[in-house]
Formats: sequence, structure tokens, C-alpha cells
Amino acid sequence: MVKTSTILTFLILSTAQSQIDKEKKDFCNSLIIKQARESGFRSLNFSEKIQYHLDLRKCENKIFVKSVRKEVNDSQLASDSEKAKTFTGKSSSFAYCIILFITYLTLN
Amino acid sequence: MIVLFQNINKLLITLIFGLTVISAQPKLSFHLGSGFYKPSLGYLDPDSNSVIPSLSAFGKNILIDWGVKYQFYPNARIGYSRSNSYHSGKIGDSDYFRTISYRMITFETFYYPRKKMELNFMLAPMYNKGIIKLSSKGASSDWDSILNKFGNSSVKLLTEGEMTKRWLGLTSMIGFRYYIYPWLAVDGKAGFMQNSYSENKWKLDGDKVDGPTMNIKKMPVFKLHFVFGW
Repeated sequence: MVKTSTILTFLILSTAQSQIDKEKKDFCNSLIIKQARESGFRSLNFSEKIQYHLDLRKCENKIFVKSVRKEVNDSQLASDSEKAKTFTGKSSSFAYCIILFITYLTLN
Repeated sequence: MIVLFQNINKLLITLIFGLTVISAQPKLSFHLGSGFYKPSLGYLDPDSNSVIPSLSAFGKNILIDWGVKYQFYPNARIGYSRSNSYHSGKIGDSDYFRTISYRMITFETFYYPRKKMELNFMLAPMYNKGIIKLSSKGASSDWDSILNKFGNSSVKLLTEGEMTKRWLGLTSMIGFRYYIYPWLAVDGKAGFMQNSYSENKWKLDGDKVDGPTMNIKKMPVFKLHFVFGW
């Protein structure tokens, strides 16, 4: 009887431990984090963004968390600068007008 | 200890929520910062008017800025922005408080010459407001005579009045923004602020009175902002 209960306890504990390990791994490689890394932070919707921060907080591998944050931030900054790398439409005319206006005010 | 832990947890959750709200609106940004300018505050500084309380550089040259902007086009933003100048002190027994609010509807175009670096060009019509307020606490003999009959001792009542003036203006600025993170940037701007101010027609309790002869027609302005969101 004692032997059986010991084996049962061991089995339950090991199953629970493996579940905990699995969950720990899932936080670091959750779908949300994968999506943020692949498609950028702005591709996430409101609730996904909350989940992204929570997953990163729960992930115990802090070196990995730091690298993910850096990677996602860098790719977002690159994407932002690519989108507005040059003037489009009338925005350049607007900028030239302001440059001329400020030059005029400086000289007068 | 448990209470402290709970408080830290609450703070963290609030911060995460706040950050997410900001980041969730990539086209929306908020800024906080200050500006430097050199107005000629005729009769609003102690040099030209001995009645006015002493004025530090904060009251004369520093502006407190805040605002919100919305990106409506890949290279353009529109927004509302305020630059406030404050001066407070005592005139006799009264508290003196002066505010000049430069209120702007901003139109801004920008581009990135390099990653993380943005050049922006801003034009902003302004609808400004000046407020001069005096408030003091004093006894009222009439109130005291009534209150004495009710069995009260004398009280001091607050009396205050403010004079206001509104005028139009225009701001034009060129700025440089550096992104530290996608949601945080430092933005420096330089340009001019033009005002159509005249000292006539200030309003004090419905009456039109003459105000200070400030010379703020054309002023160079420098600003430094922290931008959140984007």
C-alpha cells in the first residue's frame, strides 16, 4: 500500500513538474512573442500587446527577454524609419515653405 | 511586506497597461517638456513695474510645454500643443498669479534621414491667453455684523479678481527628434513665435481695461520635449 502511494505521489509530482516546465517554456516562446518578432510590435492588437508584456514578464530567461525586447524594438524603429524615409505628396512643399519662412524671419 | 509586494505588483500592472495603451495607438503621441524664450514683459516684470513681485528666470524665460499629436499621413501630423509661462508672488497682502498660455494647433511634416533620427517642420496658428489674477483674504465688517448676531466670531473671506486677454499668433519651427525606443523620443525644436498682441482691451469683470505693454511680436524660441507614444 505504501509502495503504491509513493509511486502515485511520484507520478503526480513529476507530471506537475513537467507541466510547470512546459508552461515556463511557453511564456518565452508564446505565439504572441513569435508574432511580435516576426511581424513587429504594431501588428499586435490591444489585448495581444498586454499579453506580450505579461509573457515577457513571466518568462524566466531574462537574457532571452532582453534580446527579444531589443530585437522587437530595433525592427520597429527600422520599419518606422523606412516608412517615412522620404517626403511624399505635399509634405515636402510644406517643409520648404517653413524653411523659407524661418529664413525670412531670421534675416529680418 | 505583503502589502508592499501587492503595491509593487499594482504599480507594475498599471505601468504595463499604460505603456500598452500608448503603444497601442502608434499614430498618437504625447509630449512633455520645456521651452526657452526671451520676451519683453513691459510692466509685467519688476524692472519696469515696482509693484510686480520679483521675477526669476523660470517666470520670465521658461515655458512649460505639453501636447498631443496625431499622425494622419505617412509624413504628417496634426495636434494641439500648449506652452505656458507662470509667475507668482505677493503684492501687498494679495497673492499675485500671472499666466501666459501660448495655445497652438500644430501642423507638422517629417522624414527620417537615418534610422531613429527624424527631421520635422512645424507651422502652428495660435490663440493665446494672458491671465493676471489677484486674490486676498480679508475681514468683512458687514458679514461680521450678521455673523455676530448668529453667535459666530469674525471670519476672513476670499476676494479675487482676474483680468484676461486673448490674441492670435503664429509659430514656425524646425525640429530634430531622436528615438530611444519606438515609444520614447527626445525632440528639440527651434523657431519663431509671432504674436498680434496689443495692450488694449484686457477684460476685468466685464470691463475693458489697459494691460501690460508686452513686446512679444517676434520671438525666437527653443524647445526640448520628451515624446511618448508614436
